[in-house]
Amino acid sequence: MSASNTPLIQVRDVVIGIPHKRRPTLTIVNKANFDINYGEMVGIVGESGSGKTMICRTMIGTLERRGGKILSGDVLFEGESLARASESDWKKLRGKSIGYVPQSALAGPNPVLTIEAQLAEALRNTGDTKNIKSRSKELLELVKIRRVDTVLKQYPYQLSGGMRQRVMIACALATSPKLLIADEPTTGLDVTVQSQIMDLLKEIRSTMGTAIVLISHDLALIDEVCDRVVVMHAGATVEVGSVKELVKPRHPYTIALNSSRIDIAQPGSELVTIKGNAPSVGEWNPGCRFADRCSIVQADCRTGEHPELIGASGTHQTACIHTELLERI
Amino acid sequence: MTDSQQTAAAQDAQMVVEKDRNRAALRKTFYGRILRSVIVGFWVMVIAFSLMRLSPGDPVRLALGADVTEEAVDAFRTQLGLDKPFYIQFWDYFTGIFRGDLGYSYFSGRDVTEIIGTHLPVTLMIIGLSILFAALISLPLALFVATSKSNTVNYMFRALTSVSLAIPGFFLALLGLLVFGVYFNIAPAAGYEGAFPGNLKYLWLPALANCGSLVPVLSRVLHSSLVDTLDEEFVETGVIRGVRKGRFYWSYLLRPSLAPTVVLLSYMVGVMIGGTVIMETIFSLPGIGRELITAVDGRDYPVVQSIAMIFGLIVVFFSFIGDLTGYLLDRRVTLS
Repeated sequence: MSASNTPLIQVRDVVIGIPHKRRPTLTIVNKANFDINYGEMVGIVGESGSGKTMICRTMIGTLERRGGKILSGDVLFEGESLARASESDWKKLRGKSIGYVPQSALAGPNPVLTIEAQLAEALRNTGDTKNIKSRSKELLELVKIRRVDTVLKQYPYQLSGGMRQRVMIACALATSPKLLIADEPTTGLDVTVQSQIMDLLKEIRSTMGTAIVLISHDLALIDEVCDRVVVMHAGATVEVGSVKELVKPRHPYTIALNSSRIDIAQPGSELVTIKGNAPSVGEWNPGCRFADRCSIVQADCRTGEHPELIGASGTHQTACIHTELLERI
Repeated sequence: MTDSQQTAAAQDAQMVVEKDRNRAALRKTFYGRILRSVIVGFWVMVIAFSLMRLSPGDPVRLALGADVTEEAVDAFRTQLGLDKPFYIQFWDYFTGIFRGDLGYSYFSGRDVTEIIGTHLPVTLMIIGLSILFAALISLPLALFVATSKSNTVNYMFRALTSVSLAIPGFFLALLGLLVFGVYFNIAPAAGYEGAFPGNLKYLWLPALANCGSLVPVLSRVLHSSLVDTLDEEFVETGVIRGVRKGRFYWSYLLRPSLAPTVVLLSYMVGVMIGGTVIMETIFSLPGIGRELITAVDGRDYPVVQSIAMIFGLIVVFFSFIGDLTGYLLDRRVTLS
């Protein structure tokens, strides 16, 4: 197998839990499975608590800091295990081969350092400490910030949300990473700024060939910019496929997500919502975790383990065992 | 395109305005604090001036002793100007301040400016040393507890700070004397020698005893700020960016958390002055606090009102320094 055939990231049967001294370990992700190829833009979509942020933490090595642990399965980055990576391995990976754009643009940048200082930190991470200033300027121009000289001297609180997020993207790109992880990068930004940030991410992907993982709960947004979509529900991947393939979803959860989209809702008609709430962590029923909210639920959906993804990696995969009934929805 | 250019221009204008506003705020704060310190100093002096004259006890008789004639008492009273009406005494003293004349002690006859000049540095050094020690203990302590995941460490921290806060300063001072002065014999129990580096030998123990009440308050406040900061997203960004350890602790944890603690510390200087008066008495240090106590005992009006005024000025000055430091550490802090 040549390097070009191996996916950049392989998430294999990952189970994540939060160990506790006195109480039993709380499982928050149970079997996540998906690949990310070089230069690909993949969206991970799911409700709050579906484990999408946890998966993203396994890819940047901050899971343990938050008290989480990979219980089984593995995440492979260019074939190397991230689950068993030591802190010194992470130092080589994090920020270098894998860039990260945090969730909240407002809290992302360090409030007590100037933009220049933060870019310099990110640039020093490359090991090359020459021409930091001119390289900082290039980075800011890359993310389409005007008046670069002024911005360099400013503190984050003096910048707007969109500008701050551009700075964070610039920091993440400082090391020309192979993978950029953006965890809900447009939270708290208004719609026009949101689309500007998305355009920027798309452009970075096409000019620099960076693979981008975009985590969001907004299916419409992911549809618009991504090549492939990973749908997560209650800690499991329930459907994986290209954006084209997901036009005809093969999991009732994805269908429900699709029909609750505001952008395709008919004017005058009632907005469709998904029945019930996502099951809380630690309160998962046996069998399919979507069963209680599913309109085509069958008796065998409620027994055994949560169904695994059916189909080979790279094809349209679903975790629904009754896809023949999907037409009824 | 024109739209975005317009936005850019608007943002430009906003930045310039913001920059000007910051500088103006800084200047305004600076002048405001000078004005405020003058006002505070004045009122503290007025209150000290009035209270001393309202409280019982006659400085003239106290100064001359029991075996004097009434003529001598009257003569001395006239000499001191205490036979004049209240408001004239006040006016004389008040105008004297602007000539740099704070009056003379009724007892020793020494110039009050000279008394303050010799004794204030000792007190200021104790306060400075207390702040230094408190910072040296509180910073690593709070950082250690905040970054420790152990419940025992957190519990011990809370328990020990509560206990320490409950122990009165004078008791801690006596305990310190017993342990370091008598048992280990590494601190002089009393006495003082003037010049700067040599006098530290006499000052470190009182300053350390002052920390008994400072450290718990400061480390608790800093600890809770640190815990909040640790939850912030930018800390994670720092970890991911692979920032060096020392820089990480300073720029990502301490600096964004320190402002409330620094401001609190500067406001606590007032409390510290009170503590220092006690320390000077226990350790027989020639500080201004001891002079104040002697002066109050003898109803030595000029000395008391002058020292009170100086204390007021010191408190205002330190609170300004604290606010300024807080602002320099973290620009999100707004100066009032």
